[in-house]
Amino acid sequence: MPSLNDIKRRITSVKSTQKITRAMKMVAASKLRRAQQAITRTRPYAYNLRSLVSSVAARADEVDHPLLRSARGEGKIGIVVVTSDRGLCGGFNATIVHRVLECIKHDFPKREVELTIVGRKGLEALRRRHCTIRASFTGASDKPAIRAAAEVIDDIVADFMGGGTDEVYCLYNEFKSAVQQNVTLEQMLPVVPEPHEGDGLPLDYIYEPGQEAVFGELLVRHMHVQMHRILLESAASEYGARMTAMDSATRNAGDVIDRLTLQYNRARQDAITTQLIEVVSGAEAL
Amino acid sequence: MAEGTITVELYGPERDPVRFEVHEAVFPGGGGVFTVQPGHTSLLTTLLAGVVILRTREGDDQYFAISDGFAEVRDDHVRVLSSVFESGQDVDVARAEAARERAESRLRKPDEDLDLARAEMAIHRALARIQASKRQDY
Repeated sequence: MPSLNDIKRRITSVKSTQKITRAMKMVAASKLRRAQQAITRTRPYAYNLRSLVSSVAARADEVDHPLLRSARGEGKIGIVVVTSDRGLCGGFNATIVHRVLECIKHDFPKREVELTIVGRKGLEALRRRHCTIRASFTGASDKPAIRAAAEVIDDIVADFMGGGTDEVYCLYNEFKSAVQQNVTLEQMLPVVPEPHEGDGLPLDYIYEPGQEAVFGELLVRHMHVQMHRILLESAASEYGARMTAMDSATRNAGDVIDRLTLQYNRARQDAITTQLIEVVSGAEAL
Repeated sequence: MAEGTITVELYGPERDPVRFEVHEAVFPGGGGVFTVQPGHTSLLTTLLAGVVILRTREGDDQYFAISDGFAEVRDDHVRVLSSVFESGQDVDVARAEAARERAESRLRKPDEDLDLARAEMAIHRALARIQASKRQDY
């Protein structure tokens, strides 16, 4: 049976932990609001860019761009794993890491898989599991800038163009809502044009300054923006996950405090009762 | 003059898309400034940093400063995808002037880690914003 002082000390300690988790929840909530705005505003831009790339790729059969060549079906697979730099965000990183291992085992069992990792947490976890890590980027997950995305994607594109990888996928948390993130596996390279909607009539554009130049630039921009979008998705998801995790941590701490307080009061009552009995029986003995 | 209107949509990262119905629009294309009117042929072009002018029949023109990007013209519908766009009325002229000063002084005193292309881009962007705020062509 712990003494009164022990219980009191534990209550104080849980209370201060609760303060921390509550503060972290508040911070995550306000950061989430900004991150959410960033992603919802960037999505239309990214999706329109993708549909533009698709419509050009679908119409112009003669464009022959290295980023569009179809996969050979052999050689290395690259996976870009997007995680966070900081922990305390529930299952955010664990689910991604789990999915990566699953991917290596089940989706591409016969292929050599090389990882490009964004975020310190994923790097640490996957290094422990002896995965082949080609490159890693840390320090960008908090407020992803387009330049951070460019750095990552340029490295991946260079590796792809150099023949290092045959296909590149990206694994990240897609932002649904503050309490829901979807782990998404998306093919990045080679660029696959979306099946294109509409009349299906081949429509030829006039290209300025020229078809190849426009398309080349468009593809590069497309890659940058998609990567940026993915980083923003992941950042918003991270704050959502952290907010939920810290919310339940705060609530758990409250439960623990209630239980300890009850225990403390009981112990105090016991002590008083014992003392009373002692006093009474002492008086009777006289 | 051609009848009807064209729809212009501007998209940029971390910015809410905007949409206008206008009867004429001027863009700073990669191959030179061009104007789109209803019935324009399908076109896909790069855009340079500059000013987009949207003209309505009523004459209340809108000026937008944009950074480099792309424009697709198709069925009287223009999609503009630019890494930055800003309405002329919203431009903070003092900041744009300061940005131009900075970029120009960097170009005047080049040191080894100067990225020439980036500094030039910065000047173009700043100029575009200043011009858009004055409702002038760039």
